[in-house]
Amino acid sequence: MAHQAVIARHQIDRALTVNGRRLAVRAYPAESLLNALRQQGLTGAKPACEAGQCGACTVIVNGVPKRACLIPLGQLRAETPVETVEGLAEGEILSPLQLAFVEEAAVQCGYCTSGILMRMTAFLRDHPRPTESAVRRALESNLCRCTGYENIVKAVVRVGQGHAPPLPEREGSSVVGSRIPQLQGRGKVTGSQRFTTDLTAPRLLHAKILRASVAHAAISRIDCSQAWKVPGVVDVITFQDVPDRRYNSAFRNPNDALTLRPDERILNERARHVGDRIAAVAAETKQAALRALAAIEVEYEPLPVYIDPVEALGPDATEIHEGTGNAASEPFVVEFGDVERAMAEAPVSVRGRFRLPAVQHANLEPKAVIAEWDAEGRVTIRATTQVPFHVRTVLIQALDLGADRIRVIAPDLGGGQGERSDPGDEFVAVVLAKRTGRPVKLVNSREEQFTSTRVRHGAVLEASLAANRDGELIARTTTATLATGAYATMGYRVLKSLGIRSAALYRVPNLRYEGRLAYTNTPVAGGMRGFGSPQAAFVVETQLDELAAQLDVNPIDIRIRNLVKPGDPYLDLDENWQIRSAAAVDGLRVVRRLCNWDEKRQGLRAPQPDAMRRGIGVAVGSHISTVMPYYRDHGDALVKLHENGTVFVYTGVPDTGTGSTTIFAQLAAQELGLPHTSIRVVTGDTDLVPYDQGAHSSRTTYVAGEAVRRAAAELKIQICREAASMLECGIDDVELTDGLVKVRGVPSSGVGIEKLAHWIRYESDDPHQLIAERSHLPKSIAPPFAICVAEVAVDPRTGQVRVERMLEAIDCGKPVNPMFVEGQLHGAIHMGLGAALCEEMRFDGQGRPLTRSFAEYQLLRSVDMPEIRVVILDSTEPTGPFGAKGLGEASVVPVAASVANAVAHAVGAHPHELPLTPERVLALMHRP
Amino acid sequence: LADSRIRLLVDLSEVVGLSHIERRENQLHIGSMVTLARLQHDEVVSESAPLLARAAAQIGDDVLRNQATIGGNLATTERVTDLPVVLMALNASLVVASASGRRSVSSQSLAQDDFFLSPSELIVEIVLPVQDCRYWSYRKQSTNVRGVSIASLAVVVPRAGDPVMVAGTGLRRPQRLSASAASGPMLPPEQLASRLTASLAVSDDLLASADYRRHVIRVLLAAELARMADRGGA
Repeated sequence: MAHQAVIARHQIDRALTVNGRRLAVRAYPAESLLNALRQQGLTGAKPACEAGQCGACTVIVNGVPKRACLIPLGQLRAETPVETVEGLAEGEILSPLQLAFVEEAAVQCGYCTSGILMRMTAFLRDHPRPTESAVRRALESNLCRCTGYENIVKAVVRVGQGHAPPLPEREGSSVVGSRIPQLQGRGKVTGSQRFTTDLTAPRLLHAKILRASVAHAAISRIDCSQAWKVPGVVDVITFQDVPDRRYNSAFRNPNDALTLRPDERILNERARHVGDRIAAVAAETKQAALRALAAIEVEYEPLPVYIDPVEALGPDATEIHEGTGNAASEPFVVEFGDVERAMAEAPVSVRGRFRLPAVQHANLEPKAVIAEWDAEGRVTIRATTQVPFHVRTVLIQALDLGADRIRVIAPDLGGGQGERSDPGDEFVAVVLAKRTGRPVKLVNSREEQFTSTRVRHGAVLEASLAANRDGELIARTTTATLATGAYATMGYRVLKSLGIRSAALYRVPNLRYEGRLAYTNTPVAGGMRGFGSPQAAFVVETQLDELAAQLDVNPIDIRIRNLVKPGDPYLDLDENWQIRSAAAVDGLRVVRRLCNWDEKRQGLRAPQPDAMRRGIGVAVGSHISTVMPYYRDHGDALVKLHENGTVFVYTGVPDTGTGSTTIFAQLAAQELGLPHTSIRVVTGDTDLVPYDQGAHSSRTTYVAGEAVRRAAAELKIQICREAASMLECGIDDVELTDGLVKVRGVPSSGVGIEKLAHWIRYESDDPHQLIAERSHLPKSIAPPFAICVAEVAVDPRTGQVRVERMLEAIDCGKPVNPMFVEGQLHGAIHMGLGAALCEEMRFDGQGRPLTRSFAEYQLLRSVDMPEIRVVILDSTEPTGPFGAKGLGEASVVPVAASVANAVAHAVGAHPHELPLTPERVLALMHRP
Repeated sequence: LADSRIRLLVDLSEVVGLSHIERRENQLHIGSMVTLARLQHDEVVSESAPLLARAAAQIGDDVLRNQATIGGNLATTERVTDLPVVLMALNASLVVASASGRRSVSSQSLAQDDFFLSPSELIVEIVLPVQDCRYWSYRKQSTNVRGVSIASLAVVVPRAGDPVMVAGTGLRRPQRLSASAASGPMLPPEQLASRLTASLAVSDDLLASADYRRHVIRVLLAAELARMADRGGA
């Protein structure tokens, strides 16, 4: 009975004093304060690890900040004052700290925010004017995956200094280009925004999934009879209770069947990784569900376990999926020029084998879903998903439902990073809700987040790179073997992306790439910020430095020489797809100056006074703003004018925390000539919004944003037509700026948009809803470019690496909201540094994950972050909305590679494996 | 609480007599429910056992220290944490109670593989001699993430007698380095550290290999020996 959670026997009634008010709770005495608060609807404190490691549930108890997940309810006295985020604001008035969080963009997804606000509120009481380093130390208790802690520290320091909020930086009257805070900021800092984990429903059942405890096994027996006997259990299901249909969770459209193998099932008859879905229960309480899970008996017949993708592809390997071999897709090959000859004749070349582990998104909000069927046989799924329409597409496959019978709603997400772009567990809730006739909620534990969501593809790469004496690249070969984990999902796309995106960054006349995708008995790999490009960048950027060393040229110069420029083709695509904006070369010149590159590259070789070895390294990365033309990618948006002059934007892109909702408002406002405060944005409900492919592939601004802009442009024409009628002038004479319509050249004719809207609805002879829908199918890839310079100190005695400074410059076209661009870079630096220094999914020999909590999977905390500087390069993408392109993914691509190059500069040898653990770096220093 | 391994939870927060910090003559008595934050900030602890205060300040983060207790830290079975290392170096003893009475457990027995606490027992108090020494230090080596420690080393040089050096080596119990191994002709710190750590039992775990961990302890120790030599201590 190892997993039996016995949370006392009887519920108790307790009175608590929360935010100065009496709160009556009924709960088990060992229930956490966190749960008790949330059951009373105070959902500001968040469950994220429930083990005291992340700080998302921090509250103030008796004046002292504590983690609510670690406080048993029975320990609290009625008079003990508990403060939560809900008590910070005085009515409508935000506390100075809350306000600073909104205005400084210290809030991105907002899931960690309430815990951090409570931590910092307590801290500021004791330290009213803290220094930056004191704030960083205090913030060590809380994890954040979006902000790199940078703007959080800034906001707290600002409150301590009592500074007035910064004036919004605006370029004239332009909304695009302005530092407008997130529209949802207030909801996020007051704890009132509801995330999926916060949602409930009448008669709600709680579901839990029985996850395989072994990595590879046939199931010889499964017995649920004891589980049915657990009080409160309403349903128990195994693979026998779900349709024998296979789906692929990354399906986007019917053409995907050509490349993406349907090998997933709602519940499995075989364990293919620890954490695989075997059975599920629905019960009146989560505790009952957990007890029932523990009562399910499963007998496993172990099979050989494969962790390494190369081994899994061996000729004698046992098949992980019967009848298919362990290749999870066709190989993907790109080839042009004559690589063999070019390599053979090249005067300088390098060759190496590289290895990268799986890493994890580590979003703070765990995966959550509530599924509910109605009397008409329609199911509504509220879920943590970046791709509501794709959830529908995949569910159609998995359950053979008509699209009209599925409604998917994606509330704002507690982080995205690619984790939520292929559904699976959601369907368990759908099945249980159907069978029980009740709404069913499923929330992952942190352990399930690690074992049973998605990871970045671990990779083994063999690569060579050759140049002529002038440092001009002449040939490049790469063979990549990726571990897709137990299921294929979108692995083939990652294979392709890894080969193509990096190949498009530097001009090379002779190139061969071959990618292979292997099933392994490890957690399933999926989309993760960068989608293959970070792995490729680690290899290319390392080899460029190795070549530069052989040629004795500066690493920046060899890159400038070979980088693509505006007007260059995108690989072998025709000129329609040429690169139109590319500021990478300019960017290298900018960072060279800003970080004092040439001086440091020389100077750091000298012995350092503190006996550390220091190094500086550079790397360039690129990715995409759309998956065109390799996959069909189009966005749709709908805008309509309400009778009070506000404009509603409807889009299928949920906000993962990046600020995309605000971006859409800015784009619409700019196009319409309205202030951004006149725009409301409705996201992610498949019943309400037009089809869109969702928040992934850095496509949000560039594809969906362009659709919003186009729809707004069409609505503006409609508005002007009505205005012409109202003002009795020609349509070409109407002007719409700053929320006013007027006859051109006649300022006194100005009428507010709200008056016009009122007139249309209530006075016009032809009243009708002004509404416009437009779609956008991009005709360019619009790759963004990111350049990183890392400065590191390596302790020669221990191999410990500290990144002291990090500079990142981005070409994202014209920034729609510079504050959000900076925020994306801060978060990218956090994720990239983690991959460089400490993040790694680890397994034992039987494929059991060793990294199952934030104690084992190391995420950088505030005190681990370097001094950060970010720069937005001057660039305009002619095909993007107001000159913008994507950036979320490109920004993470070069980060780890730049650290690896800096470490190489410090210790004199290039690492070919990440992360750069002290042990690995020490071995590198003593490599013969 | 969310940890599904917890089968029975006993609330000690209202139990009287577990939250004291008292100096009685040359001994410091610390109740097992004293939080790490109190250890870190309490004046009596800082004066009477600065090594303990220093080590407490390095455990977790300050919010965690508001909740974590000294007894809880010692009762953790999974990983050798900081406090067993320093308590062994300070020659503390643990008072353990059960239905059948109280017994005293020497901190030296923390080094044994068998866990010192039986399921029916409770740590009620930690008793340690007031720290009176010429030199003391506590150092930890972490991974690239500051709070994640690979190994630790506590050193106490008494006014008379051999220095006490205790290493925290990960999954295994804390280990006392034999000062007698250092006897003989004076060696440079690196060589002495190598000799002192040669027989150290270390193991592989998620954070580090046994070899690397041994190396790290050697580095920590060599640095300490050099400092002690500078002060004419060793």
